[in-house]
Amino acid sequence: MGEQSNKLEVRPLEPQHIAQVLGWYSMRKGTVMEWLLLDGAWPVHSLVACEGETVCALLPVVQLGDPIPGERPAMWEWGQPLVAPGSDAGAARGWVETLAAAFLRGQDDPEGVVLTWSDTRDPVPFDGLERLGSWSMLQGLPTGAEDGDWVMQEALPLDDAAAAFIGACAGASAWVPRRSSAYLDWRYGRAPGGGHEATGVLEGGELRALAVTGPPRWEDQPEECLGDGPSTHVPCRVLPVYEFWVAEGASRPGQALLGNLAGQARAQACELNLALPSWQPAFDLCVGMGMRVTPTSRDLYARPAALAPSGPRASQAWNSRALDLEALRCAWPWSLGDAHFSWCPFESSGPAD
Amino acid sequence: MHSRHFPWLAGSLPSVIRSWTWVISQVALSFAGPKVEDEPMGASVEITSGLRASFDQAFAAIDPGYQPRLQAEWDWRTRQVPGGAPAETLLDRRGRVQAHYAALGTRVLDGEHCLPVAQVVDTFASSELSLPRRVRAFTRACESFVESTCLPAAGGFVLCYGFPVRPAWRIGRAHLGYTVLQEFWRQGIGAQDAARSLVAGDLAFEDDCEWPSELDAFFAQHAGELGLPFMRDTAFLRWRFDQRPNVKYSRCLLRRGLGLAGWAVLRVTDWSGERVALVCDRFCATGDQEAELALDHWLGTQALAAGVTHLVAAGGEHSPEFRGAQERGWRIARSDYCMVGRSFDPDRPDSDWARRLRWTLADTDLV
Repeated sequence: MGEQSNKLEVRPLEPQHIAQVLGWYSMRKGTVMEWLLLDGAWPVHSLVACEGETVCALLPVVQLGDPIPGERPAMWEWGQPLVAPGSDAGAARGWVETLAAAFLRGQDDPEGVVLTWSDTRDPVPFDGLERLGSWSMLQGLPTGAEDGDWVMQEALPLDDAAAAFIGACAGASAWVPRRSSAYLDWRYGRAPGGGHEATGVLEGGELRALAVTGPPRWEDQPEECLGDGPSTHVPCRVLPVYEFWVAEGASRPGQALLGNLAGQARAQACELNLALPSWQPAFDLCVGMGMRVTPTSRDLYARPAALAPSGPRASQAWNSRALDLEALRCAWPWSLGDAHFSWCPFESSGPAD
Repeated sequence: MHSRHFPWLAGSLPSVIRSWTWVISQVALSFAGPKVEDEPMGASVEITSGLRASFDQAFAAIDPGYQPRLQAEWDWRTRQVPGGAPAETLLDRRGRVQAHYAALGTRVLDGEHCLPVAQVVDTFASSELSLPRRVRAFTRACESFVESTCLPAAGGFVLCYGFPVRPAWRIGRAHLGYTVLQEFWRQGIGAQDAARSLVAGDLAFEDDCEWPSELDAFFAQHAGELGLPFMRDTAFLRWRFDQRPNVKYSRCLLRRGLGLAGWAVLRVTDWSGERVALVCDRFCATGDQEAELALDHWLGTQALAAGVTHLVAAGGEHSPEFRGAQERGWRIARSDYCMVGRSFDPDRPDSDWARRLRWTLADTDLV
């Protein structure tokens, strides 16, 4: 890449950079960072800004799923940028802007999407992002699943059949990153700490619903009071559902799967916690079984994966090609598994710190 | 029901926006900057016959069932609005309406401060214009409206907001600086389930009585628990529900002993193709579970008496009542709308409004 800005050089992230970054804040989650950003099965998209051999800032980037060149636009998630402690705030902002611009220039894909989740109380660390809306979760212990002529399979292998099933559920949407078996293996099979389990419902031998859960964790729930007092949160132990896919017309197997997951959560003294856009039929299925829509403190931001051109003629072309946020809102069946940084965070420091 | 926001935009964004010479005229815009605190904002826009004709033409073009408004409805939406009804109309050289950008002035309570905000309604561009020209005209009307009525203009609106249908607000995002503030969540419950809610022995209802003078103080006392709630006082409620022509709302005051404990407003109407009882407004002290249950009971009972089986309310995800309603059995579903807005206060970014605004259907022009 090798972009120069004064003495600053932008480079793809390498293992030795991780070691420097971990040293900044005595971070302990090096395994998570290496897995997220450097796993050998995937192209490295994260960038570092260096002065000589010294890392000044890191833009963590993870690609969502597998792109299908020419068919579906690529999607990337930007994590909170990390900057060397004690850095001048102005310089830090410049480093982050340089990294973001280098990434966008490198992709140059106006139909591609860059996403980031950001706490509403924090300044958004990047320019040019548009707020897609609040990020709400579904939470609770659903009830009301009925028995049926199907088989519940726990420890379901996340193989090609599972990947094909997810692809079929996602349909022809233009905004669905493909989840190949290799991606699923990386995302859930090789995630540090383990604890991810897939459960499927088979009807007549065919997969009709599939879910992937992660290890239980504590999730802060916002208290109801939003007044002038300090905002308060109530910790709640949840069983996160990273993937929840139901075949078209398979609402009863979907209910059965949700009932099974509720049983797993109950056995671990948890509530279920999952993310679905409200236009998905599975959203109504979850609400119908008693799950609550629960706001989080995070907002979702998006932008095209390219630098906006300058000049009126270029702007016209940009407007006709660039990301349509409403189309994205209505056609991207996001799940908790798409939010790599927000739900497996490592300590961070933004340029505003 | 149809949103009155950006109804003119169909299809994709324009690929070419041509230059055009426009004559901008404010139509009798005697709006002199909203006054905060408790005084009515006063003057409103005059709706000319030409403007009405353009309005009718624009909305009839997108709604086969559109019925022109009666003069009384126009008056209610303009002259009688307690917070004023500023507007900007763009005319061409021959005096024909090209675009109209209008708002209902209202207020949001932030602690002891009333912040003037504008609900953008009844906006349109002439259906006789090509799409690029519509975009241009509409954008110019909006820019002029903003310049004269929003911060940094003295006493200007700190926020403009609206509830468009999702596909229809692309231009708001692309050209007017709007962003999604909150989801427009539809909240539903069976009327029978609501009617079964228990009413504590010391609570009682007063149906369809006058809004009492103590309401203003009651709201002010409890509003601080609501984040940034849209202001409620007797002047607003009388205008919103008592003075509207040809629309019947039912309401109750909830009393605990002699004191006010809450209120609710209901309208039975068609919504998204079904007959429902719409909860247009409700309020009680945050955490007063007995009052919430009692209001559920009253709403359910009223709906059943009107032969309606479902109650429907609406709100954003950050409303302080959002979780409690779900725990009482209200179920959340998507709607065709979203709440969009644009902040004009540098100290209040869009995300701050998004996280703290509390609204009900009374703060929309949908019911």
